[in-house]
Amino acid sequence: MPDDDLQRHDEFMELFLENQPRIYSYVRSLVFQQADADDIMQETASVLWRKFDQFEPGTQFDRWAIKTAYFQVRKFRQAKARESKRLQFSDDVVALLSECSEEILDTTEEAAAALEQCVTKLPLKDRLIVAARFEAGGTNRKVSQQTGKSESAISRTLSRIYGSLMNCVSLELNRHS
Amino acid sequence: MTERELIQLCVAARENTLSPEKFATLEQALRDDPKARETYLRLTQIESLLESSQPVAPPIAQGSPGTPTRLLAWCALAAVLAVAATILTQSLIPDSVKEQVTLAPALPVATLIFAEDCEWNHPSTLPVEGARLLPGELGITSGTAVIRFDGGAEVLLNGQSTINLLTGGSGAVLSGKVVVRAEEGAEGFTLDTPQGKVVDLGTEFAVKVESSGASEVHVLDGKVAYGDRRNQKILSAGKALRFDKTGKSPKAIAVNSPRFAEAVQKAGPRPRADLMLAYEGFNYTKGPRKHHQCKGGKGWDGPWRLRNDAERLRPTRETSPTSMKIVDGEMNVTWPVAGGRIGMLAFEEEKRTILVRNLAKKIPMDRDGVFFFSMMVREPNPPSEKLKDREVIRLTLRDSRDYFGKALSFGYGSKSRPQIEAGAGLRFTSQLPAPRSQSTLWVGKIVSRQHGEDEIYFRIYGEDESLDYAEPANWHIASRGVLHSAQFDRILLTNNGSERIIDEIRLGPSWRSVAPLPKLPAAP
Repeated sequence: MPDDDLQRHDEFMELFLENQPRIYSYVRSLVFQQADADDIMQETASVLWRKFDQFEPGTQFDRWAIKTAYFQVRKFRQAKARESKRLQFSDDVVALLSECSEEILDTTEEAAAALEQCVTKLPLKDRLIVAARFEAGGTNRKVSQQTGKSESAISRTLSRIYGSLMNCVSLELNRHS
Repeated sequence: MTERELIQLCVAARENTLSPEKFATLEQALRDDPKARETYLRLTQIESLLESSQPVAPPIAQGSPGTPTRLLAWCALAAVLAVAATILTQSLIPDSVKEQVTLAPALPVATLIFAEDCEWNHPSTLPVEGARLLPGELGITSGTAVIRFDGGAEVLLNGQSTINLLTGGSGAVLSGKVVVRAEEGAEGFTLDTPQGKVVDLGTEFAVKVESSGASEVHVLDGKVAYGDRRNQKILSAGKALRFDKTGKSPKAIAVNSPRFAEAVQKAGPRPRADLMLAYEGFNYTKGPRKHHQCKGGKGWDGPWRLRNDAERLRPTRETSPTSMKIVDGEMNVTWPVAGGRIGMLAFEEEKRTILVRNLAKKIPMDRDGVFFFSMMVREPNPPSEKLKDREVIRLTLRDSRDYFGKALSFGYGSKSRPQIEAGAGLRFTSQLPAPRSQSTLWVGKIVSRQHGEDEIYFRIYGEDESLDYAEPANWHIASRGVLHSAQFDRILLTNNGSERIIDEIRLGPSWRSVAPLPKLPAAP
């Protein structure tokens, strides 16, 4: 490959990887399953690379990428609607969530740092549940089997933990802003 | 709806456990309320950050086969950025295939966490405090016992009462009075009575079963569901029912049961330091002390010493300092320890030290038993970056008959995570880091079995964590697959790297014998 193309590829990768947490967070908010988000991210990355010539250097890569990600999410949802019986948000709800996500996405990096602190403040029993749930391949069912608690109890516990983490992250972000 | 209810709906929707009606309610809330949308997006932000997001494989530039170095460089960069992006999950997830982590309980379904003045129904199978309990009947004719089921519910037996342990989340009251506490996460605990099931919906209730077959349910906090599946009813806090032996037409009665905590306090959960098998408080004169001068405490066979030739892999090399450094007042002792600020052992920075002391009484792993240890450890400074490859602080039990073969160690693994090494390559590392750079309390529990797997537990408390009347429900580590046949008669303390202070080494047969718990006030 010519040196110019390699240079361009390097530039693309640097921008993509730098913005990956935000793009992933955006995609993840619009689909329910992690595996689906991963598939959409792959497609998005490919499309972005093919269209990289259209990106204007100096402008916001994440904003540009998220537009492409949104179209990939819509494409994915249309395909999924045909084959899956899982309940999915309606198109209008997805569109609303997409419109509202900008402000929260802008806090992704700070939220990640705050979350790291907030997790350490959880009681040990909650941290164990979070660690088991979010290890590779972790599911509510596996945590239920490991702990002897029902899946619904695990779900309720996780809901409570998310609430605690959301409050803690908010406080941390407000403190630093 | 409240934010809590909204979060529960959002989580259930994403887990595909929501009914179509409730899903529609959630959608409408998201349409109508900007705050609901914000809550949903903040929730998914937390979820996405917690997930171990592997980097998306970089799209390969066309015609790249001629530049493998470039692609390898990108993979390395992607890995570095992925580490930065997932530092949170890295701190939660084990990073080595050699390390095993488990939350799983063993085949037993419960633990006897407290027993005071108990006379057991079947004296031939006398359970001890800390013992793991298999499914089956358990009863007392007097005293107070608390059983913690593996699903989290705690059941207090008082006076003449018998229960049947069924699973980690269920039991049956055969006779007598029990009080159940099932806090968050343990809801769904079920207790059978002669008239049907009582299901805890959070958090506290009492059951009485009389010899006539009549029974009562008293709800002390939260709610329970009772009755059979076709005809289940809810009973709320402050209400009680009495069932005759037919179970028909239950009658409302006044609530008449102590709360769980009240019942525990009434039993007098005092510390049992009198049961300690070995104790070292380092109550020696401040300053450098020769090893042979440090011979205090109890339960030891001889003073502290360095390893002898047979105990070193390289017999001619002993690099530990030739004296022990005793200091005062260098540990912030937030737990009640008599004379806690006087006399503690200091390990100096960058002076690799291994100290040994012989136990007077062995800890046999080849028969059924329960042992606990505790030790206070303080690191005045954070683990040093410069010394990180040499950082070690460890308490090790060894068997002098097979010194290098049979050992059990408690310490830190990588990234400040508590670790147990059980010999034969078995290593267990917590998924979670433990507190550092403060006073900590290490507590270990060993459940040894003549037949079957041993269970080893380890937890490191930070100085702002309080201790309960009974052993913790959650440990940093619970081992699996350990089959130890050692008879431990040596304790070793190993330190390298940072400066550390050690104090209050205790070994005993129960939590209350080693945990620095407050004494109960004297009876009036």
